[in-house]
Amino acid sequence: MRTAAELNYKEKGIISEIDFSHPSSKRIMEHGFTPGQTIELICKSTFNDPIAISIRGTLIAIRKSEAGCIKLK
Amino acid sequence: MRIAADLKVPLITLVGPPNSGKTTLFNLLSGKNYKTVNYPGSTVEYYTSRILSKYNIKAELVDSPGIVSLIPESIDEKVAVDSLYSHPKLGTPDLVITTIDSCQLSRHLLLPKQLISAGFNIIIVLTMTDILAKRGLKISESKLSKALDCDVVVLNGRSKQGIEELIQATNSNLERIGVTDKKNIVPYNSLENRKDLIDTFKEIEEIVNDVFENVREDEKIYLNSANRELKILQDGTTNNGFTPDEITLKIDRVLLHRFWGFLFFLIVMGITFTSIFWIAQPLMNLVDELFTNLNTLVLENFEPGWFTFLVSDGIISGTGSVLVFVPQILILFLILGLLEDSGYLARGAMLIDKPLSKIGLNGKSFVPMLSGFACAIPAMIAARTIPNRKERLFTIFIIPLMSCSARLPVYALLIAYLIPKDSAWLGGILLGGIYLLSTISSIVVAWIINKFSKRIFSTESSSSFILELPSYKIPKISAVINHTYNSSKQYILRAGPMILGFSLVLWFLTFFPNINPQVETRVLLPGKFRISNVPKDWNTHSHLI
Repeated sequence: MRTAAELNYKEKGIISEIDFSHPSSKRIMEHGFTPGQTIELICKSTFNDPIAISIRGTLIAIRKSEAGCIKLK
Repeated sequence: MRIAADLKVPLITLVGPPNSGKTTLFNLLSGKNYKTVNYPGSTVEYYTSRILSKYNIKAELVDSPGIVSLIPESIDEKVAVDSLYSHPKLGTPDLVITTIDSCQLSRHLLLPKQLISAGFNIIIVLTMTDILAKRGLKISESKLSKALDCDVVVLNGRSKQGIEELIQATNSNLERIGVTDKKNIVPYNSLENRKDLIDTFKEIEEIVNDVFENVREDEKIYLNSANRELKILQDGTTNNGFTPDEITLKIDRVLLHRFWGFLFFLIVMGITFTSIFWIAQPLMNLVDELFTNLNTLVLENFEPGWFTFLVSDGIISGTGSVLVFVPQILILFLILGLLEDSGYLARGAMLIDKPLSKIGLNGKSFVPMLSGFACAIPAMIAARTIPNRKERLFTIFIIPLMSCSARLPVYALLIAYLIPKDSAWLGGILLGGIYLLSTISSIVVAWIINKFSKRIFSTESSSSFILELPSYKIPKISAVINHTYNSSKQYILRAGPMILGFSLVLWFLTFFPNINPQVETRVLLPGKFRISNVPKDWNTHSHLI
């Protein structure tokens, strides 16, 4: 299964689930990353990490290790 | 027993996510012009005020730091939530006014939802509806109000439209509630778990789908086409997927570009430091000269004795040593304020996160470290936004290694001593080298501590970097200047007496053991009047501090 960390530049995806075992999962959900939402990778930082994801009309910068718990359909 | 209750004055607290226009509302209601902050989580001080008398509400108004959720994660969030539940001085709010960015309704509704389930009385203020209108949409206040069972007011921060409605709503709410000391508030730790969060968001999505209306049916709406596109992707599921601000996305294509973005970042940092040192220098010299002249004036016109030396070397030089840093602090706060208000600071933190994480720090360490070049103390305080304990402590350890502005006069003195007068450019390179060395040494130290950190911090929660990148906007100059003024005033008032005090103690210690002070003191202050090409120094012993 793919995760948000594996999105390519300008690629969209729909969240299927959030990995609850990840320590940052609560924080990630509080920022609006919940199942069913469409996300888009807007840009990557110079060192490919963190990445900026568009969610619910805003941009969120997030580390790849944390984006990895956002599972996509 | 809180004071406000004794006086039967209700307490109203403003709560809202970062960048939701909360501080703007506070300024409108209180008449005080504080800064609107753009870097998430940077409202730290609690601003409290009575509501302007023209609005005819007797209530205590408190502005709280921006929070995303009622369940805290980092220390500053915990402080914010704890004080919302029960402020040490003000108590529990009778009414909570919560601001919501209309363009981010589906994200920002989480907080009001949690506030309602916790049992707070709330009024929702919808901000930035003008931006939403540009996208051809509006929010039905009545529908939202019905769905959440609380008052909803639309407010335009710039034109102040909607403030009357908010006042009316506040009045009617306060009448309904009545001021009591007994409030049934559910503690946040029993609020919800991760599964509940998904359900809350599901409820929010249902509400959001219901409340949006087109401004005009026949109007051409570019968002609709975007939505249609998304709907195909979403396979029939409902869509509230707004796209982020178009202009922001365009700017970010350059400023967060893998190559140009980092180059721009380095340039911005370069300009920041250049202006701190090169623009501030003449101003600092001016302050310096002023106090040196004052000092000389006292020494020339009064009989030499301990009291004259106390006034000249102790008080005048001590005051000078406080005020000489003001130009640098002014410039740093001004630049930081501009970067923060424009929305760039969060991007800077994102760009630098990866390199910093290699040495055990966090992208969020960036702003505190940058402030460390001006003054270490406010920089250390700023480190509290870092959620991970290890990274927070690291940042605090590293900050003193950043060459703060107080050390600059010492460097200037040494450089003037070492470099011949006719090659001043060499001094510039040397100064640059000192700063580079201080940065490198702090990196090395951080790296070394990081290597041994496993022994110091055995069980530590994982590192995290999730940061909202706010839409770009043109900074409000007046607000930035106001904030710069207030911060500098705080520096003079808080650090000033301390520096002056220590300066006097040091003067006392260097002066009094001597039998013949006129001669001996001068020898004790090394090099003060001996080196010919040294600029007139105002106070060497202050740098011992």
